[in-house]
Order: sequence, then C-alpha cells, then structure tokens
Amino acid sequence: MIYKLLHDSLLILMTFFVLTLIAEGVLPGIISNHFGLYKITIVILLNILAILGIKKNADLPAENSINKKIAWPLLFILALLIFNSLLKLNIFLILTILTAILASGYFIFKVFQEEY
Amino acid sequence: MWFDLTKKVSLNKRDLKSYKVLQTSLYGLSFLTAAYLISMILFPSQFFEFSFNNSSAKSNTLTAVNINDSGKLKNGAVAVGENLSFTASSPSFFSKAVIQFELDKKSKATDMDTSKVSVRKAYRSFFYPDADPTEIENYIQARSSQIFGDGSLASYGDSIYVISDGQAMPIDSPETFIALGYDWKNVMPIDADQFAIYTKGSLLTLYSAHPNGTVFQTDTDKKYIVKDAKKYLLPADFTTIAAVRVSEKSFEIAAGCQLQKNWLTLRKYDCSLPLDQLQNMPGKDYMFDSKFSNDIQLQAINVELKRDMTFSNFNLSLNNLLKRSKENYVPTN
Repeated sequence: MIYKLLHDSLLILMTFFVLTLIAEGVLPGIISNHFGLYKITIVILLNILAILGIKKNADLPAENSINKKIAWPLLFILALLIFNSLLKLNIFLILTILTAILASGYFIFKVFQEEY
Repeated sequence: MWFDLTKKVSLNKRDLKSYKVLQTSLYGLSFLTAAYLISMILFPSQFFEFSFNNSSAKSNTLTAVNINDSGKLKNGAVAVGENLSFTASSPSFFSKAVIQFELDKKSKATDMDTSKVSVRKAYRSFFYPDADPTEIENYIQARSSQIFGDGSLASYGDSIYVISDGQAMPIDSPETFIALGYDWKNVMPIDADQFAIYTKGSLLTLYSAHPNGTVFQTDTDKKYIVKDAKKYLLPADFTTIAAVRVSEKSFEIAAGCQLQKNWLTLRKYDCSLPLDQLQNMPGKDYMFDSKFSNDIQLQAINVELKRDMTFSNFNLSLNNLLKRSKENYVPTN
C-alpha cells in the first residue's frame, strides 16, 4: 500500500514541479520567492529512492517504465522552457542550442537504455 | 473516478479500501496545499524587523529607524513624548500593517496601552525637512548647466546609474528602478569617456533613499530638490527631466492605531493599521511614527504588511502579474 501511495505522491510532486518550472519561466521568482525549489527536488529524490527501496526489498513487478503519451508533452514543455530561458539571444543561436540539447539528451537516454 | 498508477501490484480487499481512502486524502491534501500556495502568491505578506540589540545586522529590514529624526537609537530607550520613526519599503500594495513592539527585559515600564502608531506612504526622501532654497542656489545652477546633472539617469552597458555627487550609483534591478519612481523614457545613454569622469557609487536598492539632486514633482506641479537629507522648493520655471512624481496628499493622508498588549506574550504590544487609503499614494516607503505612553526600552520592532483576501485585491494581483509577465517579454524602451 505504501508503494502505491508513493507512486501517487510522486505524480503529485512531479505535476507540481513541472507547473512550478513553467510559472518560474514566465515570471521568475513567483514561486521561489515563497519557498526554494530545491526542497521539491529533494522530496522527489527521496520519493524515488523510497520507491526503488521498497521495490527491491519486496521484489515487486516493474511498471511500464516509459509512457510515450506523457513523454512527448513533457519534452515539448522542456523545449519551451529552454527556448524561454534563451529568449534574449539570436533566434538561430537559440535553435542551434535547443537542437544540441535535445540531441544530446536523446543520446544520453539511449546510453541508459542499452542492455549489457 | 478512481485510478491506480501501479496496477501490477494487487492488494487484498481490506488494504485496497484503506488505500483508496488514503489516496483520496493525499490528493485532497495536495489540492489544499496548491490552493494555499496560490493564496500566498495572490495575497502575499511581507515581514520586516529591526533588533535594537544588533542594530547593524543585515537581517534588519526596517530602515531609517531613529528617535526624533536624530539618527540615534539610544539602544532602544524611548522617553515619553519622543517620536520613534522607522520605514518599511515595498513596491507592492497592501491592505494593512501589523506592528509589534517587543520590550526589552531591562525595560522598567511594561505598560504601553495608550501608545500610538501612525503611518504615511511616499518616498522617504520626499519627507525630508524643508530648507531655504537660497542655501543651494549655486548647486542648482551647476546642476542645470550639466548634461548629466545630479539626479540624472544614465545607461552604460547593461546597467542604469543615477548620477549624484560625482558618483554613478548603479540601480540593482528593474523592480528597484520602477519602485524609485523613475521612468524608462528619462534614461540617457552615456559614453565611456563621460562615464569615466564618475566614480562608482553605492548600489541603489529597494531600501535606498533617493540620492542628492533628485527632483520631486508634486500633483500640484511644485518641484523640490533633495540635498543632504533636506528638501528645497524649486522655482516654478525650473525645468528638468527625470523628475519623480509624488503627491502632496502624502503628508495629509495617514492611518493610525493604538497599541494593545498581545495576550499570548509578556512583553509584546501590537496593533493593526489599515492601509487601503494609502494604496494609491505614489512611493515605496511606509513611514511609521510611534509615540509611547511611558519611558520604555525596546528590544525589537516587527512589521507585517498584509494583503486582504478580497475580490478587488484578487483582480489587482492578477493585473500586476500580467503586467510583470508582459514586462518580461515586451521591451520597455
């Protein structure tokens, strides 16, 4: 039951984190003036560690690790946030940096997915 | 509607029931937390403090704390009839201010029940005492003859500076620039050779008063210039750019309250001042004056500026957020 609840709390925390990042992107300081974003990050990390710990100890079955339906909108939001943070630069420079970030992100993801 | 993120992990009937209850509570709690956070953003509070035990500490956010405008603090000892003044600076608008005075353990008197506090809103330097303009005739003439006279706004590199007393004083942020009442239209670019004439002055922050040479223009079209913590009336034909708009009403409109003992504590007195009528006054400084009914020794002053949860404040907050986000994306010059 705790394992299931941890998944729910992770979903809530991640939703909160993404919404916070979007809000901070549009209006810097709107959330971070009230409390530090590092606190959410630490709680998310602890949550993930707790899920992994329980899963390992109780030998629970793995859930579908990648949900493509959610991954694409999240990638789109990520691209928008990066674009927003570079807004004052030249448009071609922004597009180059954005492409480089997404490409390197994709290859890093591929490396993690490799099976030995 | 009920959903399960971990369908592969099955629970027995009893545990499933408990899980559903706990899951619903978790989502309910997170919804309440989000609502609380939104209320904190739309109806914020701002805290200010001053400790007489450590008057030079950086944590002291109340500025210009002094007794009878003397600039002295006397370790927090305030006699009957003396005026303790202090300033809280914020560009936001608020509905009320809660003032709390904490008496020192050494304080002989512990009764402050008939003591009074009042507040006015403007720029702190606009409240400097009036002085005779003939004292600074030469200064005014010299100021007018220069391109970058005292009080001018100059842009160099990515920064904006206020020129004053041979110094270029950088402004720390666009928020401070707006809070000080300056207008982007009045900023003039300065080249490297001209800029090199000036030494770099201290950083102007939200807590700073306007530097020497600043001109205030009132709603009745009177102009004042600030120099050495005094304010001088300028002749009617005096022309300047970069004048800071102020209101004469700032002197008249004030809010007051009477201190009462905080029943939860032994040595704290507080009261609440309504700020609604001060909301439209130009200025970032809430200037408090307090007079006490006994000779007292203070340990600390705490001020909390609050915005009430009303529909009009909700609208104002939303408009401010929209304005701020627009300023982020639309160039202002």
